[in-house]
Amino acid sequence: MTVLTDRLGRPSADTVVIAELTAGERLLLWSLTAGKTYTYEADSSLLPVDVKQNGVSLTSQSSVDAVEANAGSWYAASGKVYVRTVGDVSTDSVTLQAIVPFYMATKARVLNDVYYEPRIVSLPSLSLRIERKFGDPGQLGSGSISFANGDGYFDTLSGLQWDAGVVVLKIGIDLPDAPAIYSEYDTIGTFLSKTWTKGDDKFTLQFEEWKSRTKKKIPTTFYDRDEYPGLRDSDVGKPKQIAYGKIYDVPPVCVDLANKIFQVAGHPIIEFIETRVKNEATGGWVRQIDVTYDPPNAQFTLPSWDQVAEVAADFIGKALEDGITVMDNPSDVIKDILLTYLGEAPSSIG
Amino acid sequence: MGYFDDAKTALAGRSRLSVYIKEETEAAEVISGINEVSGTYLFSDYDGLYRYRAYSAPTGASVLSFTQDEVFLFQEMTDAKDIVSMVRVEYRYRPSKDYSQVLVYENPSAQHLQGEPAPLLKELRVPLYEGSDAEVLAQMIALFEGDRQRTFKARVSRRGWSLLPADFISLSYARRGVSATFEVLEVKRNYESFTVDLLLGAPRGEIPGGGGSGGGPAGQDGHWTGDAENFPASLGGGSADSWSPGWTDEQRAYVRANLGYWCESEYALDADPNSYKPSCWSFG
Repeated sequence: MTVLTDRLGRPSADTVVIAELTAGERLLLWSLTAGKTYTYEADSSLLPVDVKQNGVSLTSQSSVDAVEANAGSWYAASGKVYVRTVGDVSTDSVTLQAIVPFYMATKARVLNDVYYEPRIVSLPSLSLRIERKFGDPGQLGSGSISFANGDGYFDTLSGLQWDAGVVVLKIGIDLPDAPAIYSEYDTIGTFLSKTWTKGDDKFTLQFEEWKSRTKKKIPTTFYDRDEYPGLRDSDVGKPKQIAYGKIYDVPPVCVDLANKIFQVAGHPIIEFIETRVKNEATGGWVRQIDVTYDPPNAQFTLPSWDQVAEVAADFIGKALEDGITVMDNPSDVIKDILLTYLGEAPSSIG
Repeated sequence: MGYFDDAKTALAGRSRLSVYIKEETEAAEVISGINEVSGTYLFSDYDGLYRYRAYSAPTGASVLSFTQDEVFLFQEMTDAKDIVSMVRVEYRYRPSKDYSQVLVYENPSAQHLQGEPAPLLKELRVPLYEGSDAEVLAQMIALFEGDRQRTFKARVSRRGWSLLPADFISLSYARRGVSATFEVLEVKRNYESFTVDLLLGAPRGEIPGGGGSGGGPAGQDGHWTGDAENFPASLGGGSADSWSPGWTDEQRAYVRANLGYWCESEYALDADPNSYKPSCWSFG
C-alpha cells in the first residue's frame, strides 16, 4: 500500500489534485550578448525549465559565463534567455524553443518551494484500457482540464505552443495533522496537449495519452538522387524500408541503375539468403549466382541483370546490438520502432 | 527486468516476426499487427511510460484479491458474436510471387456448440515466417475466439488504485456465486469516492458452457484440484478440504469456483441451505 492509499482510508482526508504543465515558447529576435563572443540573448517573460535547439535539449548552466564557455548550453535570468548553440551556428538558422512550466492545483499549495495556483476548475474523466481482442486498435485516451481565467491570466499565454508540452496530473491526500508532501503525491496521468480554448472564465486544454505518438507514419526517410545519383526513375521518393526477421521475395529498390546495385532496407541487415530475376518469357524466377552482397549497406549488385527484368531478394533483416542475432522477437521490434523510428526516449520504456 | 524484458522472455521462440515496412504506414498499425500475432498489449501507464505485456494465464497466488466487502458493483456481459471454429493462417508471404504458406486449424466443437452447419472461418495473413509459430497462433485464436467473450464490470475499493490493464485480480462476490480470477482490461479511478471501476475479462480459453450465474464460477477455467486445499490468507486461511456449513459466503464462493467437491457428502447437506447445487456425482 502506498502512502496515498493508506491516507485514503482516513475519514477526514482532504483531496488535492495538482497539474504540472509545460508549453513551448519560440525564441526569436536574438542579439549577441554584450562582451561575449558566442552567447546570444532573447527576451522571455517566462522562466524556462529547458531550451531546445531543433527539438534537442541544450545543457542548462548557472551563469552567462558558463554558457559562453560551453557550446550547446543555455541560462535564463531577469527576463532573458542566453544561448550558445550547438556547433556555434547562427541562432537564425535553427529553431530555438524555451519550455516553460506552469503549476496549478485544485487548492492553493506550496510544494517543494513551488506555488501551485488554485486554478483547476474541472478535471478529466480518464481510464486506462486495452482491448479484449489482441491487435484491435487500442482506444487513445483523451480528456480535458480547465483552469480559471476570470482574471485573464491565460490571455497572454494562448500564443504559446501548448502542443509542445506535457500535462502531468497528481493527486495527494491532506490529513488534518499531516498535509501531503510532494513525494506523497501519486501521478494519475501523463498526457500530451493537443488543442486549447480560451474563454472569459476558463482556459481548457484538450489532451491525448502518450501512446498517441504511435499514430505517426514510418518510415520517414526516402530514396532521392542527392544520396543516390543513379537511382532508377520509378524508385525516386520511395521510403527506405524497415526489415525485421526473415524476409522473403521482396522487390528491392534499384539505387544505381547503371551499376545494377539494389537496396532492400534503410539500415544494415544480417545477411542475404538469395536473389532471383524473373524470366519474362517463361514467367519463372531464376536464382542468381553472380551476385555481390553488401549487408552493412543492405545492398547487392547483379552484374548480369538486363536493367529491365523484375528482381526479388530473400534476406535476414535487422540485428540486435550484438550485430549477429536476428531482431525478430516482438518485444525487441516494438521497442526498436518506438526508439529508432518514433524518436521516443529510452527513459519512456517502462 | 522491465515489462519489455519480461515480454521478450515470454515470447522467445513463439512469435518470430517477419515484418517488412516498405510504404509509409502508421506505426500504430504495425504495432497492432504485431500484438495480434503475439498476444500482447502496448499501452502507456499513468506516468506516460510505455508498457508492453504478453498475455499469460495467472499463477493464482500472486494476484491482488478482493472479497465481497470490497466489491460495490458487479455486472456480467456476454458477447457471442464472431465465434471462430476454423482458422486459416497465411504466413511467410512472398510478395513478388504473391503466395504464402498456408495453415488451417479447426476446432469443430466451437462450431457445434453454436449450432452452426458450417465452420466459422477466420482468415488472416500474419507477419510470421516459422510454421510452428503460425500453428501456435492458429491454435491460440481458435481457443480464445472459439467461445463467447465474457466481460465484467466491477467497482472495487481503493485497494485497486494501483492496478493496470493486463494485470490479473482474484475476486469473490458471493451474492452472484463468483469467485474467480479475471484479466483487467480497463481501469478507471474515481477521484471523489476513491473507488476503482474495472472492466474485467474472463481468462481466455475458458471451457465452453462452464460458468455463468448460478451454474458455477464466472470466468474460471475448469481444472482438477488437489486433495489438501487451503483458503488463501485473504479469506482467513485454514483447511478447505471438507465442505463446512460454517464457512462464510466468500469462502463458499471461493471453493465452488476453485476447488472440487464432487465427491464430498458434506457438500449436499440437507441441513445446510448454502450447499448450493451439489454435483450430481456426490453421495451421502
